[in-house]
Amino acid sequence: MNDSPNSSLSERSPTSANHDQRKGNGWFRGVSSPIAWLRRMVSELVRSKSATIGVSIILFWAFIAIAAPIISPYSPTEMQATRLESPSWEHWLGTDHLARDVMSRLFWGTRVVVVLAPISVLLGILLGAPLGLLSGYVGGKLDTIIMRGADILLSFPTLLIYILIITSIGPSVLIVVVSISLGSIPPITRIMRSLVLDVRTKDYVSAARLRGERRYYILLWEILPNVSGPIIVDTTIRVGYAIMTIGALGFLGLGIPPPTPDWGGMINDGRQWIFLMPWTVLAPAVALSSLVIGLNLLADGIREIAQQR
Amino acid sequence: MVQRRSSLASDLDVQLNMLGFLLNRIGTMLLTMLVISMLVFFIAAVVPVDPARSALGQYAPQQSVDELREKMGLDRPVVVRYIDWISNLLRGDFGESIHFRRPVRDLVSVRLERSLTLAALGFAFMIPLGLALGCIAGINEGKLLDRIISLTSSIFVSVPSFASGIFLIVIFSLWLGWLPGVSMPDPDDSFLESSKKLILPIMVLALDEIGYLARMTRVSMAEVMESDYIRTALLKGIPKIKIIWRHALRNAFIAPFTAIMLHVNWLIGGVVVVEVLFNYPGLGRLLLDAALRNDVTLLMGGTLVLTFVAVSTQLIADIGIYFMNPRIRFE
Repeated sequence: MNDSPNSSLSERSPTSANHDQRKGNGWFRGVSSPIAWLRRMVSELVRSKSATIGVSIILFWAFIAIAAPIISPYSPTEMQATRLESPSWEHWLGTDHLARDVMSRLFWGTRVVVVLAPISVLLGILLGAPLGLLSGYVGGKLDTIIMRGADILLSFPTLLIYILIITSIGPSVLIVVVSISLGSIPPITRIMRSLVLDVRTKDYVSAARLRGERRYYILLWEILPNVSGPIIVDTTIRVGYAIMTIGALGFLGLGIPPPTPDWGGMINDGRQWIFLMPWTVLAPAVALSSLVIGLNLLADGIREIAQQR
Repeated sequence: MVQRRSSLASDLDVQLNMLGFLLNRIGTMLLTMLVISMLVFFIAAVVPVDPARSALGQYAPQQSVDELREKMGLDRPVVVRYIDWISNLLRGDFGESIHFRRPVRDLVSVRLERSLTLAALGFAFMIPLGLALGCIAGINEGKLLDRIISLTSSIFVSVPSFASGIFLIVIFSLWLGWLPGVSMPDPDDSFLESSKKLILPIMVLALDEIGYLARMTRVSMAEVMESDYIRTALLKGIPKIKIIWRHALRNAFIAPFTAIMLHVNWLIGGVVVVEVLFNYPGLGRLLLDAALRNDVTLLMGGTLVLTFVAVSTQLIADIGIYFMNPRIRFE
């Protein structure tokens, strides 16, 4: 029996046979207020080394994204004095082939990535999770159709789909976000479905059904809270994938249209000058990698914490 | 009297089961290809940019553009065009590239061969290394060696292929000067020269997935080492190495191997990126250029070929898993 009353990641139900009846329904078991919930989250996170490092990296880049207009020494699009200047006191990371300050472009480029990746994944979840929930819980014909569809879409090499869609409709922020969300939907649906299949055999679900609860109640308050753990881990990893994809699309020339600084685009533009001034490509490459590393470390950490429960 | 069920494959039931499975899988593959061909065609057909106009240029008079449209058959309803395209495809006629004005088939086959070479070489490096690293990590679970390998795998998993490619180019081409940063195969090259050109792209391709493979192998290996039969063998006094070699490896390798084969889609993306990064004239780069130039016929034909490669690899992997794992066979 999962009887760790203080865990936020263990299974719980509003009406489980746990004698230690606490306040709150399936989502907020054992907390008196959202603040307490937050505090408990943080204290759990700090316990894992990977999670702490991961969160620090993410917060670092989030800060840069927010503060970009303030901390960038120059404008990301304005031409400076010299082209392809090596790192110097005026330009800490040098300038690119159009004489723009690399560091400022790097900082401004953070905004694009840090905003678009989570949005794409969230959109994917909004669409994919309900599909997975229904597919797993209802089963039958609906399940078969959804799974067949997901399988077929998953057999298609993702990057090719993106290339196809983006070149047909034209590169823009909206299309990149939509493509990545569409690409995330099949895997999210699958994962959700397998988790639901696992949970729906549990006693508290049967108990709820015996009580006569409606389907939506069961889905929302009994099943969903208990699949949220693995889903959170998967989401974190998926945001990492989204960031890599945004970078890859920018690298292939299919990302955000210029002159908006985009890390992938920076790598693509600077490629030809790599022997003269490698920092135009090294900086965004390191930035991208570090951000994804941070997200994966966080995901590992969350997994560790969940396992310890 | 209780009838004993024979477990030999000659049992009629099992044979029917296998046949059913094969037909099911092949049928699914055909259905997938059909749906994908429809998807590809309709997305390309939605192209707001007129292929005829792209071919003739911005300043051509509208009349010649209309004539070209008619000649290309672009003014017929979409469904008719699709059926036309599919029937040609099945006969082996992939159409003509708008940009190159050569049959798509010729262009694609040459490039496909190069891409497959690159991918195969990448696999050849990645699979043994990944499996080996994962095994070592799994056997030494919790110890320092495991931690080092796990940490490095985590890092490699997080670094996208174009980033690792950049790092490798900077290290090996710029700072050390050992290897060329561009990989155009030249028929005049000696074997050493062409090998040197291929090393970096292969390394990048391998690094892309090695982390993932090592991780999966580690988990699988650790699980196997904890299992009962391994413990029995250990208690019986069989030397550890012999156990690993004869029993553990075989079982540990199933899961990561299947995971990788089913990961083919991601790998194709990696191949495209590597080809662009190193200027390697493979199918991936051809498709990207075709997409950017709006060369619709080439794009559609090439995408379908590449998808077919991906889908058939998955099919082979599926069938392989089925035959490797007796448990699935008797479900």
